[in-house]
Amino acid sequence: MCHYAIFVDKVSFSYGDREVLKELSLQVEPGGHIGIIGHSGCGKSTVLKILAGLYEPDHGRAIIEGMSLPEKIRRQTALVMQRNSLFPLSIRDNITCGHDIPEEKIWMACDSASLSGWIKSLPEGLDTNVGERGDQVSGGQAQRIQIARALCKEASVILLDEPASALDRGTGQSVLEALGHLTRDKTVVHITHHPETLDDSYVIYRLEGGKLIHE
Amino acid sequence: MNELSKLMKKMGIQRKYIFLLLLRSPFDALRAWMLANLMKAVFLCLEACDGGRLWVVCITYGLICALLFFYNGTVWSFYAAFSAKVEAGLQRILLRRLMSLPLKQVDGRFGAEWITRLNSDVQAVNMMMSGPLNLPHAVVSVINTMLSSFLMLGSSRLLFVVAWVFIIPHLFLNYGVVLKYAPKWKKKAQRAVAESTAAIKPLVTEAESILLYDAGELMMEKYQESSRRLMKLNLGMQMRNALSSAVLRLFGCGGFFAMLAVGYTLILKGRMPLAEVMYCLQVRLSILTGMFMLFSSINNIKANSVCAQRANDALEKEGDYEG
Repeated sequence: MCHYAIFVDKVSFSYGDREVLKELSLQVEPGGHIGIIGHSGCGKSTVLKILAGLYEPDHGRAIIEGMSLPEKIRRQTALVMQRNSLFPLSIRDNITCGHDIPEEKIWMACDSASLSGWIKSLPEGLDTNVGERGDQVSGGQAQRIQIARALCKEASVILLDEPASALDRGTGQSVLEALGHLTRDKTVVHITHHPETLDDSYVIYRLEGGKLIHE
Repeated sequence: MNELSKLMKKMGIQRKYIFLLLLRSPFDALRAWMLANLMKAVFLCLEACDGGRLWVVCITYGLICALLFFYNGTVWSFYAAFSAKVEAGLQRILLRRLMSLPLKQVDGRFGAEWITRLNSDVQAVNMMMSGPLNLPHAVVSVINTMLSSFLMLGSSRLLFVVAWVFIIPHLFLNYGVVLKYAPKWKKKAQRAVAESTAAIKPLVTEAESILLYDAGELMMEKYQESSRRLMKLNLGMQMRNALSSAVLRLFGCGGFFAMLAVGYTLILKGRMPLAEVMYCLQVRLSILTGMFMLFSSINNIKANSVCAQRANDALEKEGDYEG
């Protein structure tokens, strides 16, 4: 069990009376990539939130990188969401989240997320405010900032919740390229409605009836 | 004032508002006149050692006082109903205006900051029209001060001059210290409130990212920054208001001693009875109360007029909504 990066054992989870996950189990080796598909509302995002240490399962265990306490799990994981989850602060604050991260490392993350060119063209550079709800930046830029944030965290488990699905084809493609840098040599769980966008390294599961079924 | 007048015209409530204002305006002046005459009548009775007449005077003035307060209470209750309707109406009109804005404009401006500002603007405009120490009290205090000044002028020109010599310097000081800066402070304070609200919002909307990336400290720090800015602004504003009040009290005390000294001389010279001096002191108190109320009201009106201006700006293209 300990050699798995992700070890989920008979996890159940309910929202009130509605049981979303029923004795769900999943094992992922370190560096393994899995994709989860399923219809809307089937509980895909709930799985991701349990893996991120944001939710605690009602029953069963979720052990991520050997950690079972939510606050310890959160240190091992990084999550890139579909929706814009930027803070109304500067690009720098959004990437570092207030942690003491060297300038060089921030720029490396920006390079990998294809952000550097755009940031350098801004008069205030990294200190440009992204506005309330990130409305001063485009959808693609917001996603890339989230990717740079995840890159800076250097988490060993990367969780992706349809990060490119709300973007147009061109922007989506460039975000997927940036995600390639983020997920390299990492354990990845990627939720998507478009499994065709995932490469061959991904093992695809379908979430149905609260359980994961290998495709 | 122009902004409020424009706004009332747009809302079609100007006539009703002026009518209510006129109904309310004589109260303080009548009370000042009544109290001064009560003081005079009581001292005349005391000088004549006429206990029976003193009872009659007290009961008569007690009844007049009760009537006056009944009248005042009735008018203020009309005001309260009017005020509630105006606030709801203005909010509705502004929201309709917002809904008629092009989506591009809404996307660019329609955040928590904007909504907060809109709500505070509506409240400030309502406060300016009906709240304490705003427009109604400004009108009431002007009438009170004018009538009290005439009463004192009719009683003693010398005491009238002494009273005003101590009031006029404060007028200029208040302008220099408070009035000139009030709108600027109000604008800054509103911006700080909006920033502070926007800083709190992600604690709820982005709770997941805050937890996952351990950004709680950063968010609290940013919130505290905006909160400190707001506190500093409010502190500056309150300090100046306090200074203005303190100076008014200083001139108030100085004026009182000067009036006493001059009154004492007039009594000694037999040019004025004690009852008349007491009458003048009471009238002077009404003038001071009126001036104090007027200064505070003007300060508040000046500060709130920023909001009326913004509400007017929002309503500029009247054709875009159907009121």
